[in-house]
Amino acid sequence: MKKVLIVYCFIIFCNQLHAQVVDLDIHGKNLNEVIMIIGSQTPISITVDPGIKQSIGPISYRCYRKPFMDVLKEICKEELYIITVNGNSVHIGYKPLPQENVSSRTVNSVGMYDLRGIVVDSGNAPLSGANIFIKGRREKFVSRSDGKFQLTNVSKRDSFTIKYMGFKTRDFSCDTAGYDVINPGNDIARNAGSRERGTEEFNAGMNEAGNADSHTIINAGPVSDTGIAGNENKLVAGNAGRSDDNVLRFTLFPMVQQLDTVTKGYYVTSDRLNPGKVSGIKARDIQGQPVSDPLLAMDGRFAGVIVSPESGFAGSFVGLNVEGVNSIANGNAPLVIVDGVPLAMSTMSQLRNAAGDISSMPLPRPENIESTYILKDADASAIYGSRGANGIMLVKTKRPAAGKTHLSMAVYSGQGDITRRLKLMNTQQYLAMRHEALRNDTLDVGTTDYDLNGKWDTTSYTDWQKVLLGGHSSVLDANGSLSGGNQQTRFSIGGGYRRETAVFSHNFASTTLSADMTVMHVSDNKKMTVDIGLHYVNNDNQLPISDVTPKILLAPNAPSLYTSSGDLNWENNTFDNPHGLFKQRYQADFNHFLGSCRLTYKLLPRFMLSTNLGYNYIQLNERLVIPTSSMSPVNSSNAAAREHHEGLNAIQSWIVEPQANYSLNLGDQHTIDLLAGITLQQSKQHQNLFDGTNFESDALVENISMAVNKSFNTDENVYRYKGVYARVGYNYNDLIILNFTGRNDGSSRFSAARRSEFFGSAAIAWIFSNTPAFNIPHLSLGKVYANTGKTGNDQLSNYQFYDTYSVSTGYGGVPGLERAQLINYLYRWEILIKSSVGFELCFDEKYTISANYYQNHTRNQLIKYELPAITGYKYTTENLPAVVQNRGLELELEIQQIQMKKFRWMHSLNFTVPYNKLVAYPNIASSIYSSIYEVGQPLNVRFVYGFKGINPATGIAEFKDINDDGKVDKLDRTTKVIGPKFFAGWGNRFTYKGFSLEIFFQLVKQTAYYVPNLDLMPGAFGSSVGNQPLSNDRRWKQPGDEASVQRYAASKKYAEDAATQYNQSDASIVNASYIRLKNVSIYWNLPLSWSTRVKIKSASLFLNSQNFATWTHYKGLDPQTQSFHSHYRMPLQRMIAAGIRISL
Amino acid sequence: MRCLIIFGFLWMMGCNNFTNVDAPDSKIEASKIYQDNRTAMMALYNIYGGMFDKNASPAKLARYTGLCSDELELAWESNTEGFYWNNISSGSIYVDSLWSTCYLYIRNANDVFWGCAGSEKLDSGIRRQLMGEALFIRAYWFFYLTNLFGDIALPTTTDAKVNALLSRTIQSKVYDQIISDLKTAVIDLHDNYVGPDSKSLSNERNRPNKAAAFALLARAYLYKGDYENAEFQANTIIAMNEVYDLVPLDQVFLKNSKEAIWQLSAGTPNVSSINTTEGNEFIITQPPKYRIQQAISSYLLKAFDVGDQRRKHWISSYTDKSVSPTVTYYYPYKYKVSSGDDLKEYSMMIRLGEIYLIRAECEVQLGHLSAALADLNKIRQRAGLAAFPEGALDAKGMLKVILKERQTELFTEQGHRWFDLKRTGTIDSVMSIVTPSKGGYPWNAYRQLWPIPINDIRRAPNLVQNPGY
Repeated sequence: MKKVLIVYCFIIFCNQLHAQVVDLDIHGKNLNEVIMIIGSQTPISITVDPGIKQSIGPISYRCYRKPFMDVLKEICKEELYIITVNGNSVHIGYKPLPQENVSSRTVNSVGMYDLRGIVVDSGNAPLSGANIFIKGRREKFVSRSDGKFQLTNVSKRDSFTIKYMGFKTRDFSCDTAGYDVINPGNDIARNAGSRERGTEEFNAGMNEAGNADSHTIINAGPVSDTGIAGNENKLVAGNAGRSDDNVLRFTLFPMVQQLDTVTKGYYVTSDRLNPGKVSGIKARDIQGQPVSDPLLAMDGRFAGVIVSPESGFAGSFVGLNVEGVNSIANGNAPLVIVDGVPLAMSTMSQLRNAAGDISSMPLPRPENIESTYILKDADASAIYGSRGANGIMLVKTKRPAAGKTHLSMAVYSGQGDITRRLKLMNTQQYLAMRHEALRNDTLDVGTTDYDLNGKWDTTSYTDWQKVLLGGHSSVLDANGSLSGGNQQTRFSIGGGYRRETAVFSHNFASTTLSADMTVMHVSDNKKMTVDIGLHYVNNDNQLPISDVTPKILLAPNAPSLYTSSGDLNWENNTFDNPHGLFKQRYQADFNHFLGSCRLTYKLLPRFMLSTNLGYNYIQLNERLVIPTSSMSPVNSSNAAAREHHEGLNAIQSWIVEPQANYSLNLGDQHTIDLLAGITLQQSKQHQNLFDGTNFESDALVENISMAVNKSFNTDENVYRYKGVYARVGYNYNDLIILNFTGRNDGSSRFSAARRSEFFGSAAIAWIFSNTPAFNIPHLSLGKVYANTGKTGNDQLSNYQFYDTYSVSTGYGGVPGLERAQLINYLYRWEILIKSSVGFELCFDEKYTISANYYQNHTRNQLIKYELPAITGYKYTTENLPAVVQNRGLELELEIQQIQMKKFRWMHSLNFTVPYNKLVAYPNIASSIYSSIYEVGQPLNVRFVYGFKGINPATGIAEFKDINDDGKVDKLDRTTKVIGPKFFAGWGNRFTYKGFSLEIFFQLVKQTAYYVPNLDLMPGAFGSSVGNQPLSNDRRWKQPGDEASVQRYAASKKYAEDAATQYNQSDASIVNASYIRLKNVSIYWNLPLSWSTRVKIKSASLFLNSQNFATWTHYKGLDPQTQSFHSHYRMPLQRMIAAGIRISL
Repeated sequence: MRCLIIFGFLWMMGCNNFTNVDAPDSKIEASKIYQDNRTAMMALYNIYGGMFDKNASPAKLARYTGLCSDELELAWESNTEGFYWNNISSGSIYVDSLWSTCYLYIRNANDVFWGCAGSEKLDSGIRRQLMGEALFIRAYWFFYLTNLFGDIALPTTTDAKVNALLSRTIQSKVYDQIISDLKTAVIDLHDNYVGPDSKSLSNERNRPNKAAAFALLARAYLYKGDYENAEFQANTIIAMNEVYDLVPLDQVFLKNSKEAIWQLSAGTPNVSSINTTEGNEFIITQPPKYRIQQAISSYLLKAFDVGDQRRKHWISSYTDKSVSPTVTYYYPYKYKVSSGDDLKEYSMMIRLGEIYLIRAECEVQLGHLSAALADLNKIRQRAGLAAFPEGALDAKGMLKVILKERQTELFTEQGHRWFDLKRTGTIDSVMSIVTPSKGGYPWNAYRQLWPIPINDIRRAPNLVQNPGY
């Protein structure tokens, strides 16, 4: 990509620097490398304007003891670049076009004159509303809509500063000698208003696609030659040929490496003008993470966002929560939008499997994501309406750049393993515990105590954690894409393959195939644009039906898994062989298609029409087979134990969103953006479930039609949503921003009487750095904002208000019909009131700090209101005046780029303190939530017994009798909060020459549920459980012992109730805080000289690792997936993968 | 192009009805159910289907009450120890599910009754039959609820808002409601058994007819102590000797046996392939530890006289050889089929044998000892026992014999023994011996009523708990 560079500057020579000489003998280097070589020979530090490095080279140069300035001048073509020397530093910058004349001032008698100029971007488009401050004076000048401005009464010695949103602030001298003058002609006037939002959005996608690393700004960025519509803004200096009324031109350069533009719902604004906070991550952040699910790559990266994988299996469901739980009984899922198309985020699996739920979001594949933004504030939610009440995640897939046809490929392969282990007993310790337990209960070794009575070898030892989970999973991921096209039409096609096996067996794997295609076109007259994206993913996930992880608690002297002949060992029906589970197979076949199309049409220069069209089809086919060979042979003739189930679950949805956009300038200082649009959305779900049980033989179980008992269930539902919305955006001189949004939402989940509801929001931002009073040195942006709004939640099941009968068990050969539920026609939307305030400060365009405080209230909670059984109904749907509050503080700190000679460092930090509270719930004591929630406490509470200690006489755990009624029962439980207190993500990227190292830490301070006694009380035996963690605590052995652990017990008789209560006591709420080195990624870009030799554009080698290390005091396997019931789940794996990325 | 887009815009604006969604095809709108004979019947069949496979199936009722009384023993520890040790907690999920399931039947019966009552589209014969059956079902479950829990909430309408606020109706009023429901049902119900179309005659005895209503009335009157009415109802049934007769022991529980007044057949579809829940849950085929199982208690075994053929024909045994020493379990073998799609047996809900014993008891209470003796001997003789000679027993002895005869004749048939102990006032003397011997807590008189599930005490504002719990 050659860049058209429009350049200017002036040179000051410094004698002493001239004395520096260098030796060079280089071939095929780029400017960066040359600078480093020069830097190594001289004490000079050289800086370069962005964009120049890429455009010079490859350089071949040979010299001996030559003044380095001469060298630089020769290397950098003097007619294009200019070299500025200041002390020991040298700057290579853009050079202005040759001067034509300097007639833009009228000097008065005392040397004062008026300076007239025009502020343009590097693409020469005028920038209106730029703020200009003359040093030492309090007045402020603002460039007009055509970019022109006039500074009155300046002298040669004065200097001034130009500030413009999204651009680097620059200082200029009022000594105009050497400035470049252009003819402002008619073109400028005509183009002044050409920065319509819609075009920008299109541009942004197009520009960024070209270079995944450059976080480009759409406001006429320096790479606008890659953007189709960007061409319009181009204006070549002096091309009008008229020489009268010439003015000086001051060029501003956009800030690089900044996520400047944000798409807020249906409009685009600059991050700086946004009266709220939007955070995003880019392709670069995602591609270093070897994960299957794009959501996993978001973990820890956003303030206020919690990503919670259900288990460590590939393809298992990943939960996503933005700023807390709002709804008690209904959905809290954020709206996930991929290229304008909302994705169904619900779990779709109907059959049981080891992973729990199967994720419905492997689309788009992570490598194909260009950017992901999280929108949280009221202003953003309001534009998406009720669908976005729980936050919005906007995913944009990559878009191709114009230019030579470009092929890029990446392959990596790696291994995963489970790093954390429980400290469990060995055989000796275990048997000692068992004998002690029997002694305590005055029992003899019984017929079913296989571990002690000789049925199992009492001398053998198996580390079940090692045997069952100690293996390695493997991952192979390959993807590639081909893109190209010209200014008018561009395309890309791509595909990927990924296979990830499970740690316990390579026969269980998740295999994903994906394909995608994008086409973009702009019409000849550039009035119409089309952007089409098609994505398809197929995932085949093979899993056991149940997770093998809980079996790590097998007695350490349990028999071996296989007999000497290689068959599964059932040890005469005494052993529940965990590998039997591997014969109980679950298979998910997942098809996901997403097609999006965006049409825009510029009807008038300031009036644009557009339409989003989207289609999404998700289909999950599941199959579950249980043969009796998976069980102890005692079942081999038990036909009823054989099962075969097949499920189909398909969601088909479409969305149509026409929209009109008009922008209006009222004088130089006021801009108004008007937006109106409609959303129509339909989602249709179809479910089938076939159940076959009772097969005569294992040979038949693969074919469900061979089942003796068959049943079939089908269900379908339709959801429709309509939103009509309008937005008014007012911008006063980039100083005050006001946003008003109003909308009317209708959802088919409410009866006609309650269907539609009005929502709205208001937002204000004050960019105080644009006022002269706050013209603080180094402060390039200072912004405070506030926003508030009302929205609704309709994430409940469909048809709740329809009074229907469904088919039930019938009689005498005829099916029955049963009333499905008690109907309440009058339930209505859950209402969310969201508000947030915050500020954002940016210094020197490098250091950004922002803070956001949010407070959201959800009222009108729509609850399954529990009815007494005497009514014959369990629930009815009803709005309760219950209120849930979420508030929190979010801090983000970003350092754009710090250059230390050859080093570059980027840094980002996000930090969140969330707090959730059930503010009100009338009559909670008589509701189903009486032992789940407590008013005044977060929703994340557990009701637990208060552990008092071990009774020294009996050795039994005792608990607090809170209500003093002489017995410890459910009424004696108190609440204990679990969940995060704060969480943070901390990322660093270091670049040195062609190397880059990225390190990302995740930090969570939290408490969590942990079952201290695991599955069974210590001392008892089960055929698949029984081992206990090695504890350093003192246990009770004999009367009089002061102990902290209850006595071992083998039978239910004495100790079981207390053991159960212990598991439900405050002793089970533990500290589960952790620091995780979430991601380490090392890149090495092969030197250009190497890659050019083999005729490839670029190549890089990389080594990525996910979940590399975890520091925690949590006793369980994983502080993130935890175990909310007594069973352990497959923990997250540490994945290490190495690969290569090639671009042709 | 321009026009198209603008036109499109206007069209979208006009889509006001877009968010109207029809009810899904997989469900039927409530307003249509009682407009059609067939769907109205299906609403009724749903209740019977539920009675077959839900939490208050005949086997469950027999099991819970059998464990509570002296009929059954727990063969393997399970979560039903509460019943066995007469120490049921108000949080018991079994009591909770039984309670809510009974009220679910009652809700559905009310739904059918009022749905049919408000409909003019139904065939009048069918409408009457459905309403009669609905009332019969309601009365049947009121009867069980009041005998298990004492005073109960008595919902007779479909308004859940009203029903949620009900308080407990005292037992005598519950009986009044049962009797008045059954009296209405007697009028509405068909004389003969009807087929699946609720109209044509059928040999299947799986739906209540007029005689079933008489029989339930007889039982209700007996429990209430109204012996004259009870005897009258029993007379009516026994007089229909062409339809109802005592049959040999092995044939009693076969489907549509001549002894059956009302049987419950398997649900549709019969997913689990069983004939009767009793056959499925009582017959022991593997060591009890593999499945929650119960066996006949020693008290019941001892109750059989020597030579009683019911001991031989209705009880079988299983010897668990997986333990040493081996253990032999005796189990109810009235139903011989454990599972199978070929339906040979139906669950017996009401049968003639009970009616004879009801009449015998009424006759004793009314002073007709010889008539009572004749009825009692009919049952004894079928069991292969010698008839009592005339004058061998006085009234008191007679009642005692009848109680014992009910124990050996009606064991594990939905709670007869438990209810008999309670209504005859013998429960304290019996259970104060039995309960400790089962390993339970000392017997306390309040235990004869089960606790109202704690969940409903919490949810229903006007329900109060039984004393003691």
